[in-house]
Amino acid sequence: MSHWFHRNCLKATGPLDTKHLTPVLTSQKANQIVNELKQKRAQLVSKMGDLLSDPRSTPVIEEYLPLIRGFAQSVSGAASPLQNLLKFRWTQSLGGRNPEVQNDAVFEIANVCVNIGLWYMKRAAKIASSNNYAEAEAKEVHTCLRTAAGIFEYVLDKVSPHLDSSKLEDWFDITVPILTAYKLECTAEAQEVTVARAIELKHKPDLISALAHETSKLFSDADTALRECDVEFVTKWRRYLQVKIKFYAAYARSFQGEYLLTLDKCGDSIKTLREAQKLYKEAQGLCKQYEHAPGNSVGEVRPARHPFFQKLGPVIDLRLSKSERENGFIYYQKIPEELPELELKATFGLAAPIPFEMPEVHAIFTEEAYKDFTVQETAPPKISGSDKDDLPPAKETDIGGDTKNIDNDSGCVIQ
Amino acid sequence: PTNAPGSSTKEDPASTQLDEFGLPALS
Repeated sequence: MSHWFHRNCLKATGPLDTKHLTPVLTSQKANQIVNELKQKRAQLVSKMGDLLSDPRSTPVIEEYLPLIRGFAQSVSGAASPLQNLLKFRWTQSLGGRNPEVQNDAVFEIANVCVNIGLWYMKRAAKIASSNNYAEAEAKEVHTCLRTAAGIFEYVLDKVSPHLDSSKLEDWFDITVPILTAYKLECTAEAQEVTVARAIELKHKPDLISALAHETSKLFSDADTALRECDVEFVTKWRRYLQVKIKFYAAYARSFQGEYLLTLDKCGDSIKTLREAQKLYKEAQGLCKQYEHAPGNSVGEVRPARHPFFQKLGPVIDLRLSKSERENGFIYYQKIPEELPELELKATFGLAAPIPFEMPEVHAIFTEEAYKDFTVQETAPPKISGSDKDDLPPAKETDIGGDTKNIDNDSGCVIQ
Repeated sequence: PTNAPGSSTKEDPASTQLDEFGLPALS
């Protein structure tokens, strides 16, 4: 049991408290809006973390978002008069049961969207951990990860600029570094699916090398985004990203070595394959550091025990011994001092986020409906000490993962 | 194993039929 994708925790939230709104709601319509919001939110929260459910076929997402959007933005696009009417409590995916509390509907939208993104990421990991799947499941994993990347991109670009960043710690989910890292990680992991598929379908080694190189760079960019964040919370996540940086760099060098040999550049092939060996050993070292790193994660992740990881080392050794043997018998080429340059840009297989489309403000929010809330006469709810009491962890389906019987070229079941 | 004929990073992506993962379709 050693699934491949590191996953941080699902965010927990508390139920919506609307008791203080009684004097504010002056009509049946206003009551209806608040009751609907409360009910749909509770339904959505209870569904999140159910990895056997497909978020795309969970209608409550499409039902809740237009309602909460009406609390953040009016139909005309201006700020909603209801923006600060309710208190929302959310924990962070990187740890702690102590929630951040704000009376801001934009804060709620950012956190809900992040949790939906995490749900997609976890669903991808759940499907990928199965031993019995093929092309259809690979497509689903690829799509889930690109969808998650699009959601994080949306929060990063469209929602986070409207948040008060002075209230947020640098490891909170709705900050620029964390959203950037999630977006890049999901894009890189979608590309991992493509790398595995390219290997299984025996695409040309230069294509696989370029794609693996790009994947390593994406993981590197994700890791870089986290370097200023509090080490107490991001160390484990960063070690995972660093394992993937080295692992895909080793893959890029391994396939480059094979490619160079087909071009009769045996000296270059040996040089790059020796580099692949070095990178692979570094990845192994980082796997050990990852396992012992402090931090928050869900499930048992042991990258070094995954066949996709384990099969690469012997392949590099085999390719290197072949190149060295052929150089001794046929080519007699000098091993260069400089490493051959890797393909800078992969032409095929690059993954991109699927843009997230936020539903429009619910039609129930007419100008008349806003007038039914007497918000001008009511101060925003105060945040008390008890609001920050610990929340129980969010319920999550076990990701699981049985990979011990995989026997193919990549060691990855995606094909 | 060597790779079967199929694709290369040098191919023109605009004129290449791609699968759902963005890889060139293998014949």
